[in-house]
Amino acid sequence: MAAPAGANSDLVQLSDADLIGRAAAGEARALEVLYDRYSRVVFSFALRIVGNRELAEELLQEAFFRAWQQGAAFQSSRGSFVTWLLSITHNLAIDEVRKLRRRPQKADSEDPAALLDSMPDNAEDIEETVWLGALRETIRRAMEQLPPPQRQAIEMAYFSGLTQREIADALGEPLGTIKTRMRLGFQKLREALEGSEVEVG
Amino acid sequence: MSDHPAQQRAGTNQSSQHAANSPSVDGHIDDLVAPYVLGALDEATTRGVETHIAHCPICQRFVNEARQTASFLPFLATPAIPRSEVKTNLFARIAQAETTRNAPQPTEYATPNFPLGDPAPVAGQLRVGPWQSVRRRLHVPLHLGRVSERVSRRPAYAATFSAVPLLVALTVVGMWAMSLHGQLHDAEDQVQVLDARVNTMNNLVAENTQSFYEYQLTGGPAAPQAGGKIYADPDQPIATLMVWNLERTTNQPYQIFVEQNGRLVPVGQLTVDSSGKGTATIRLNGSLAQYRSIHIKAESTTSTSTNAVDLFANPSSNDALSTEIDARVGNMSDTTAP
Repeated sequence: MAAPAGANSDLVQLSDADLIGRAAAGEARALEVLYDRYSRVVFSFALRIVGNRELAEELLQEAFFRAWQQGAAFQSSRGSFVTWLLSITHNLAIDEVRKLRRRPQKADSEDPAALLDSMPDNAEDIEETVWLGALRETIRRAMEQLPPPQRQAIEMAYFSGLTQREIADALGEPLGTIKTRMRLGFQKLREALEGSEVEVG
Repeated sequence: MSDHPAQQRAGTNQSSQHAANSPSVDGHIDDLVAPYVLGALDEATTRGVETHIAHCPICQRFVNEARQTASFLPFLATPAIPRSEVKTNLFARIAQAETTRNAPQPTEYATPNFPLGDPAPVAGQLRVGPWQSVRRRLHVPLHLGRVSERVSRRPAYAATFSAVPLLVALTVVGMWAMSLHGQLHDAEDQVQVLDARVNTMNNLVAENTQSFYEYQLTGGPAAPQAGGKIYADPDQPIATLMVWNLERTTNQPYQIFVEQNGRLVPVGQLTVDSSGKGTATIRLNGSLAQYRSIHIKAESTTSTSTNAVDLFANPSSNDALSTEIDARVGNMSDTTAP
């Protein structure tokens, strides 16, 4: 059912904001272009949070479906489309992971090798890859500047959906310590990113 | 802390008002900004922050800046590639949603006199929670009613589709699903019917954006993992409840109460199936908005160990699910904020 390459050639040069606007007006092909651009980013992010491919794929679908439904609510003045889409993804994934945490789990260990078993879809990924690669490098380097405990506090919060109290309990640390680590770490992260030229979206 | 950035900018008058409306001790939410954008605050504090920034442009700016920082974090994830089936399924789902949306409405929905039958058998207790939960950012001026967050486009029949037929439709779907429920013995089928029912309900809700309340139901101490929704028109005497992840009771159904004038009034029962899901339709004496809250409890108020007054005094002590009905307009105006 995927359209042949070149089917959306009239749309691929449009900005994210234009595309989501068209999608909000009912143009599914516009969403398709956005999907081709960002499905991997969304998927990778969801997978990092939930740790399960099947679930991550469901979340990927749900995130784009919601973007489709709520496209009219997106305001480019408030930030980029990617940021908006990824925040939808984050909310969905964290909800899921918190739900899972409350229920006893079946064993479903993730095979790391399986993460790399698919081939790229089409050539227009190359351009996206350059921008994405720069973005990944930027945040990776910035995070490396944080002392490990601060980095850990931020990652546990953002990717595991744990509250400060839950992090404190998990690590056996006082709540105040975790609060300080998170605050200082975030401050440092912000400073490290301030000089960067790359922007999200 | 005289060199505190917020204090410098705010000045004395603003600063004291700032303090009065802030969830933190010294009146500033600066310490809460980072955990807030990271999602590391508990629900109550999160709501406190959102309430504060809704009318504090200074802190709103801090939050926006912090969001910029946090927006880089997703790119730490190792790149991975989804299967192409996801795209296929997504666009099939979109095509179907569009077809459903554009299809003419069944005529029986337009008739307010559609026979409802007796809704009593499955009514549930749900404490109706603050309907502006963290992610449900809905508000519409009160006289226009409330809008489901799911829909961004006006449905084709918006002008003629009033809330009553919608509630009837939901009740019909609820009743239909419950009658099917009784006939199904296979657990698998039950789950599918219930899932289909949820989707139907969701689609119905999605297509009708007019005067319609959707409340989130939160699991209480007795059932923290449970969740649900309640769909109601606050001006109509009917509400439809759907719950999931609720443990099945062996002896008797869950009891639904509404809180009015400091008392808990029973309005029906909720039966939960083996997959932890249940639906109930309850009839009220008047609109839902007159009640402060709805509660679902495993115990009956007629049992000798409890009575209505005691339950009110400890409203959350044995709740399976709860939520408070908030008749005020929610102050969440931002539908896109992460």
